[in-house]
Amino acid sequence: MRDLTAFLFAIMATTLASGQRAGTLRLLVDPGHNFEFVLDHKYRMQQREVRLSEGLHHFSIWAPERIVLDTNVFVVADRTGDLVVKLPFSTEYATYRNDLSAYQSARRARVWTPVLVGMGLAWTGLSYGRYNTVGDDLDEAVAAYHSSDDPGVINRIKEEVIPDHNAALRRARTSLVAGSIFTMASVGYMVYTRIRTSGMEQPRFEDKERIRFEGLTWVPDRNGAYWAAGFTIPIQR
Amino acid sequence: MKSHLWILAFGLLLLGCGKEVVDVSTLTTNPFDPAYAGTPVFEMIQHRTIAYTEDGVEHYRHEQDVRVRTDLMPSGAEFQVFVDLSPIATPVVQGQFTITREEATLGQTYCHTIQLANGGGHGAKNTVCATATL
Repeated sequence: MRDLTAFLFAIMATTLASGQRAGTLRLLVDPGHNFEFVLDHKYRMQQREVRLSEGLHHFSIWAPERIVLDTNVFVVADRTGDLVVKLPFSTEYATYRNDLSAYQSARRARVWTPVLVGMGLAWTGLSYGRYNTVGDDLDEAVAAYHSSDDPGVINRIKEEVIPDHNAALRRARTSLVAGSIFTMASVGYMVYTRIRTSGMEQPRFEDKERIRFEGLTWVPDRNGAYWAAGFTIPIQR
Repeated sequence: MKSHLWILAFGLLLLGCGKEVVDVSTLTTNPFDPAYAGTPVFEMIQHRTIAYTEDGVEHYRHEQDVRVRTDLMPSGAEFQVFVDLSPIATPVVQGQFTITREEATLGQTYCHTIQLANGGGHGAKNTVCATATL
C-alpha cells in the first residue's frame, strides 16, 4: 500500500503543471448498497462515482456494521479509474453477532427444553404403562401355572409364555429406566437453562465506527457548511 | 412444578424395580408339572399279601392301597393315574386306588412308579414300595 501511494505521488508530481483538469473515479465497494465516504476529510457523500480534480484525494469509506477505511487515491485527468474496496466487519459488530447468537440460542433453549421434558414424560409414561401390562401378563402366566391341571399347558407356559413375558418385562424395564433418566436429565437441563438465562438481556449493537465516521464530517449546502455529529438512542427496549 | 416432576420421575424409577422376571426353574409346585419337586403326590396307605389256592397250588397276591394327594392339586383338577407307564386297572375312588400284584413272592419288595396324567401329558411321579409278607 505504501509503495502504491509513493507511486501515485510520483505520478502526481509529474502532472502538477498540467492545471486543474478532472478525472472520474468509480467506487466499487463491498457492501455496495449503503456505503458512505468522506472525501478529503471534508465532504460526506453517498454515491458510486465522483468526478475529481486531478491529483491525490483522501477517502474515508464506511458502511453500517463495517470499519472506517482510510485510503488515498490519485485521480488522473480525463481518465476513469476504479477504487475497489471490501470493508471488513467491525470488531464491535462481530462481538455483537456472537452475543446475539448466544442470546438467541438461550431463548431457543428456554422453548425446547420443556418440549424435551414433555417427550421424556411421555416416554416414561408409555414405558410405565407397558411395564405394568407386561408385569400383569407375567403374574397371570404364573397364576395359570398354579391353576392348570394340563401338563401340556403347563409345559407351554414354562417353555414359551413366561420366557416371552420375561423378555418383554426386561425390555419394558430398560425403557422405563431410560425414560426416567432422560426425563430427570431433561428437567435438570431445563432448570439449568432457566437459571443460566434468567438474567440474560438482548445484546445491543453500538456502532462505534459510525460515531467515528459521523463525528468529524463537514457537510456543505447552499447556505454554507456545518459540522455534523450523531448519537444513537436505543429505543428497542 | 419442577420438584413434582423430579418426584414423579424418581417414583417411576423406583416402581420400575418392583417387578421381577420369573425364573421358570423355580416353578415346581404344580403336581401336573413333569418337573414337580414337592411333597409326593402318591403315598401308600397300607399293603397286604393274600394267599389263595388254585389247582392245589398256593399263590400269593400282593395289594398296595395308594392315596392320591388331591390336596396338592389345583382345585377341581381332573387327572388320570399311570402305574409303571400303564393306566391303572381300578378306578380312583375317594382319592384311593389299589395296585395288585399277582404271583407275588413272599419276602420280595415290589416297587411301582406312579405318575399323574391329564390331557395326554404326564405330571408328577413317585415310587411306592412294599415287601410281600403274610
